[in-house]
Amino acid sequence: MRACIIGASGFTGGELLRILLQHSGVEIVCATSRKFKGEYVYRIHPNLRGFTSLKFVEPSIDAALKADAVFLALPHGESVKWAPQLYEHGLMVVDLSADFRLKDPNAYVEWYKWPQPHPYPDLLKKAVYGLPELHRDELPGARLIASPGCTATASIMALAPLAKHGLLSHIPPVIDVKMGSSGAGAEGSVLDMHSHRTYVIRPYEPVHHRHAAEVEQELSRLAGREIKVAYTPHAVDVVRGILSTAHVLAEKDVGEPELWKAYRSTYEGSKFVRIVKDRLGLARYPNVKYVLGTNLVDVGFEVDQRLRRIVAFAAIDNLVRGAAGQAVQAFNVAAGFPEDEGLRTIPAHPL
Amino acid sequence: MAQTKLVVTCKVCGTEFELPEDVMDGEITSCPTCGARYIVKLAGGKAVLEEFKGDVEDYGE
Repeated sequence: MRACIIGASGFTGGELLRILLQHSGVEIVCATSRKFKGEYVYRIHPNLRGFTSLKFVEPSIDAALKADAVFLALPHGESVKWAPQLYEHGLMVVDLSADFRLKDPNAYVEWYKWPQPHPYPDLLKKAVYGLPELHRDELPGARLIASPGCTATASIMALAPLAKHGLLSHIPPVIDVKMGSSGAGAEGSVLDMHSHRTYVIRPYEPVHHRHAAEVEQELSRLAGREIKVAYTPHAVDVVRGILSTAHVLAEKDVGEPELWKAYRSTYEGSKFVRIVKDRLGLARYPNVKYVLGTNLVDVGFEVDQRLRRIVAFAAIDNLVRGAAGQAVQAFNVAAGFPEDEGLRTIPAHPL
Repeated sequence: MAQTKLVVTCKVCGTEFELPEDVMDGEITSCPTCGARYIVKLAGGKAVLEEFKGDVEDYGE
């Protein structure tokens, strides 16, 4: 298949290039960047030097129409200007922004400050939330894939087994997320300068973070009732990686064997999910260190019998599993490729 | 003579795993998935796992 990446100069665009260059069934026919048009992509993504002679081109619908599938690595609020036209032309659209993730058109007013509800409610209905472990059956043949948010991916994956197996109580789970600096994108603010960003462990949008909307949407769907979450991300001093720690106060005593069953049955057959809860060895719970550069999701849990508290964890690479890798995984399922095509990476160790 | 494989099930995570052919009564084994440790009890050609309460980590200093 021929693929085009719109917005290819950002971090997720670079990761899409890296992954798709290794995909046996994909030819990248265009990579757009208004800012860097005419320049070799490896001048902006130095890791790609020697692997491609592709140059950035001006973003346009005509450029995108050379492809069969288009990856939109654009800011929130921009993809919505592209996706309807590309969809109308019969292309497969994989949107890495938030513009088609939320099913409720009004949610965009609350969570993304849009002046009015989503202008394409019909397309919202057609969009498949691109988290393959939870939406695999909906993906084959899908033509509009809404790739999940990075911290939302980790948080949903940590809690999905509990939501699915009726283990969430009526007290909102408290979700504490730590994320690396690359989550802020390739064009950061002054707070992303090294002198402000290094040695940092600080909250970021401690209430009403927009990814909470996705987490609530997906957990509610799995639980069969409305789930609210108390969501607080933190910026920490790593470039890549997200660790989501969720605290669930259970309504009944829950044992370790029951949790093993819930996690196993939820992720049975999933190529990218590893349950990390080990009493031996160097990694006893999920750790971003052992997923970096890959599409893996390491999930784990612990039980605090004293408080009837379940602590659930997930570790991901925010740029791969939280963005480009997950988008390609969903694209693979939609287009009929092996789910892990282009994504078979064993994490480097040590890093 | 081929020996019957000694397959046991972890009481914590449910993983089925095989014990070595030469496993000895009283030997300590661990689950390959969750690391739960057991003492192997052999009787009548069968193996039973008994919880091992040997060691703990302590980061509380």
